[in-house]
Amino acid sequence: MAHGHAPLSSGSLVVVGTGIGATRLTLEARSAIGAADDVLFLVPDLVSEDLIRSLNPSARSLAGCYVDGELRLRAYERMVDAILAPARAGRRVCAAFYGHPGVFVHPSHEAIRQAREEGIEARMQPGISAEDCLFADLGVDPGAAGCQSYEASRFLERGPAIEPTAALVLWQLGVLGDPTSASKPRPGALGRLLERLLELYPPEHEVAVYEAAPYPGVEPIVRRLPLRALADDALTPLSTLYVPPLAAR
Amino acid sequence: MDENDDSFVTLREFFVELLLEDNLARYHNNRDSYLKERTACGRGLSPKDAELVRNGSLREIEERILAEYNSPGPRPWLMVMPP
Repeated sequence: MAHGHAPLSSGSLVVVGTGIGATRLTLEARSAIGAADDVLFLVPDLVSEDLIRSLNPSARSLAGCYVDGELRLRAYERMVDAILAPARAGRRVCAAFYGHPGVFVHPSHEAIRQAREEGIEARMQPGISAEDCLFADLGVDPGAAGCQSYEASRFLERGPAIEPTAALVLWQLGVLGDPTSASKPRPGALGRLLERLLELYPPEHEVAVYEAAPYPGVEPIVRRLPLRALADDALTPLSTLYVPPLAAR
Repeated sequence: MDENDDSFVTLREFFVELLLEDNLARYHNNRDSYLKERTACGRGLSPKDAELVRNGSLREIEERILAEYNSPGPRPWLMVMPP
């Protein structure tokens, strides 16, 4: 037994990552999707969606869990319920989330936690995250100077101590300061983020706004600009900000 | 020539087909040759879409996929990070 106690239910849950784009789905994840009685998935690109449906025609999208303007936490609760309901009924469930299912993904961890609490066998398989793609596309090694990685809204709210001689990665800039299932950025939040970053870095420090490409042979979005020029129009919902390390003092 | 009718394979179908057999290896090995082949075949990629795959930006390709006849249209922002 992988987690120390015998399961109480015959149902099971495996949570997999589909990577960023269909070509980055691992063999392990393909196998788990194909073998499941029920597949529930959340992927932003239609090609990955088509691939998942071809691997398991019973697959259902979790995208309907979002309600525009509502707190995203409610959507995550619906996702967890949708994932666990068939497992509670004794079925083998696979939940597939884009990227790595354990990296900056709330409902995956919560589904596994609840499943184990209820005696349902549950495990997670790794996937290729947006950050993995960022390191490859920008040609940076997080081991060179260290790397700090934060969800942008939490970074603003909590103001953690930052070491500027290590790299900084800020996720989810497109919904900065907005806990709802919004479809537009909240104005003003980026200005506050910029103020905070300018306390740590010089205005001319070059940063990169990045979005991984989910299609093979297609270039990712990489916008390099001085920190002072960071503005809302540079951002997409899936934008990540990479701030390179300052030279060590 | 209507670029949005079903006599052409859609970009979405094109990218799914890339995952079959040795298509992805052939595409990475010689993208121009692969695109030429997929444009010339019976129900192939339209010349306009082939050009988009060759030189289009990620944003242009995504917009095109969302505009295709078999697309469900714009998607919600699928955030999954802790609020």
